[in-house]
Amino acid sequence: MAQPTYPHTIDKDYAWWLDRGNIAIAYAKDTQSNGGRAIIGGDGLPDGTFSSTTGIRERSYTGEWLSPHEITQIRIFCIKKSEVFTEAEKNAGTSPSGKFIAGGMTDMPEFPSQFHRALVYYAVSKGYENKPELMKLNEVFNAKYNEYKEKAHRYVGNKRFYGPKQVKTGRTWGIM
Amino acid sequence: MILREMIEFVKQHHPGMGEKEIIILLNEAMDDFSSDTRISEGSFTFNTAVDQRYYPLSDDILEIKEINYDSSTSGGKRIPRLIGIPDERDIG
Repeated sequence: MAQPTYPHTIDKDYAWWLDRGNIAIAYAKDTQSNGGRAIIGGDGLPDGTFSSTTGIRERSYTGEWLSPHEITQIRIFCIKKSEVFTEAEKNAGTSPSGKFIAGGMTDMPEFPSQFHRALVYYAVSKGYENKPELMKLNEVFNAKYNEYKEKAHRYVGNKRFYGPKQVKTGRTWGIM
Repeated sequence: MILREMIEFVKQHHPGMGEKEIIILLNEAMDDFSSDTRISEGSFTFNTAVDQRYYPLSDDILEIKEINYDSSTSGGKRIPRLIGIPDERDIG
């Protein structure tokens, strides 16, 4: 892991939002840089940004946002669909990639091994859907699959942290 | 559990099921399981282009937790999410 470099200097007040299934990246029109920090206020420049290094910025009262002024990398931290580890990825400690394929018999899901069996139960359950005389088994394996999902929900909720999550002994007012 | 073991287990119940079909079902299971449980976290990167506002999102992203600007190996700076969309709409 590389040593972080501080501060990350961003000239403008950037923000993001979602629109029509895309991610929008833009900065508030009335921001301008001052040694790497977005500054407040001053006289307007022709491009809509401010030039002064003092004063109070009239913060985006126009609601106008401008599209990125530079090429830079954006990283999205997210919850994503699971992928599989190939043997090489697992050994190298790199990120998982892709789905199961016929040529990757040693691939495994990226989530913890205690939940791998859930995938098998799902496939077995689906297989019984085509056999009306064995519909009962479909229900059995579907129930097992759901059991694993519940366990995984708890695992995700606990965030691998053991112990009390919140301690509240009574409502208190003021500073203790 | 590796793919081979998973296929063997499924075949014990459904000997007539083809390997390809089992793999399709396992992939379907993985999508369903991770969508419902939100168990996998990760990150995706893309580069901005000057004056381009909108960027497509991968179908693999289920929920955005945060966005870092000027991201590189040394990290990046978290930028806030705008609540709603701007009054002045730009669809460029």
